Amino acid sequence: MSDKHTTLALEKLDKSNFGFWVYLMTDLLLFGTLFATYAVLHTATAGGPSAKEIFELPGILAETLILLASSFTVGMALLAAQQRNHRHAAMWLMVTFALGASFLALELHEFKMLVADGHSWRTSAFLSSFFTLVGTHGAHITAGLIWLAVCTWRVMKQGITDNMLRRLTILSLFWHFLDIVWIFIFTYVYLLGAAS
Amino acid sequence: MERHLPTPSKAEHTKHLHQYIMGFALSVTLTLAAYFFTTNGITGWPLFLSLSVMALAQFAIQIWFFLHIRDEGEPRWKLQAFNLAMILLTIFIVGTLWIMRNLDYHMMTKDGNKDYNEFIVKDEGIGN
Repeated sequence: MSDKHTTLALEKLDKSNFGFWVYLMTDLLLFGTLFATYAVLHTATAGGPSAKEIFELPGILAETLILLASSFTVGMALLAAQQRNHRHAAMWLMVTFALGASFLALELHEFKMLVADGHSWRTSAFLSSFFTLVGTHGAHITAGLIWLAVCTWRVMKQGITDNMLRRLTILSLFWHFLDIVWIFIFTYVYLLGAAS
Repeated sequence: MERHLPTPSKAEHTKHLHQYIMGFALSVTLTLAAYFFTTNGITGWPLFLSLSVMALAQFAIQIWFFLHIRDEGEPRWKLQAFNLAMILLTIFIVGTLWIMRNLDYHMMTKDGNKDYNEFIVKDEGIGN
C-alpha cells in the first residue's frame, strides 16, 4: 500500500463525501418547504378530523425509537467496514435493514388505517400536507432500504473494497439524515399535533 | 478490488464507537422526555417551546455525533454548505408563516362575521 495511492483514495473519499453532503442539504430544503406548507395548513381541516383526533402516539413513539436504533446500527456497520470486517459490516447492515423495514411497515399500517377510516389525503388541506410530508420521508426510507439491500449483498459478495467503503460512508450519511428529518416530524407533526 | 484507504487505529475506532453510543443514548433520552412532556398534561406555549428546544438539541447531537461534522479538515466546506442550508430553511419557514398569517389576517377568514368597520377602526387604527 503506497502513500501515493492512499492519498488519492482519501481524496476520492473526501470528494464523494462532500458531493453527497451537498445533495443532502438540498434535500433538507425540500423537506423545509414541506414543513412550511404543513405549518400553514395544519389547522385547515375543512370539516374533517384534526391532528388531535387521528394520531396514535404510542405507535409513533415505537416508530421513532426503531428509526433511531437503525441510525445507530448503520453507524456500527460503517465502523466495522472501516476495520475491513465484512462479516460484521454485513450483519449490522442487515439489522439496519430489518429496523428500517419495520419502521416502514408501521408507517404504511398507520396510513392504511387512516385511509380505511375515511381520513385520506383527499379529506382536507391538513391531511394533504400531512401525507405529502410524511409520505416523502417514507419514500426516502424506501429508497434507503433498496440501497441498503444492494450494499449488503455486495459486501457479502466482494468484501470491503475502497469503492464499497465510499458507498457505505455516504449511505450512512443518508440514513442518519433521514432520522434527523424524522425528529422534526415526530416533534412538530405528531407530538404538537396530538397536544393541540 | 482496490484497498488503499487506511484502516483507523484502535484508538480512533474506540473514539468513534463512543461517539455513536453517546449520540444514541442522548437521542433516546430526549425522544422519551419529549414524549412524556406531551403525554403528561403540559400544553400550549410551554410545551411548544420545550419540545422545540429538545428537537433542536437532538438535531445538534446527531449532526455532531452521527454526521461527524466536526471531523472535517480545513477548508470546512461541509459546514459552510450546512450553514447556507440553515439560513435558507429559516427564510423559507419564517417567511412562509409570516406571509400566510398576514394574508389570513387581511382576508379575515378566521372570523368572517366580524364587523368590517370595527376591524378598520380598532385593529388597523384607521379613522380614529
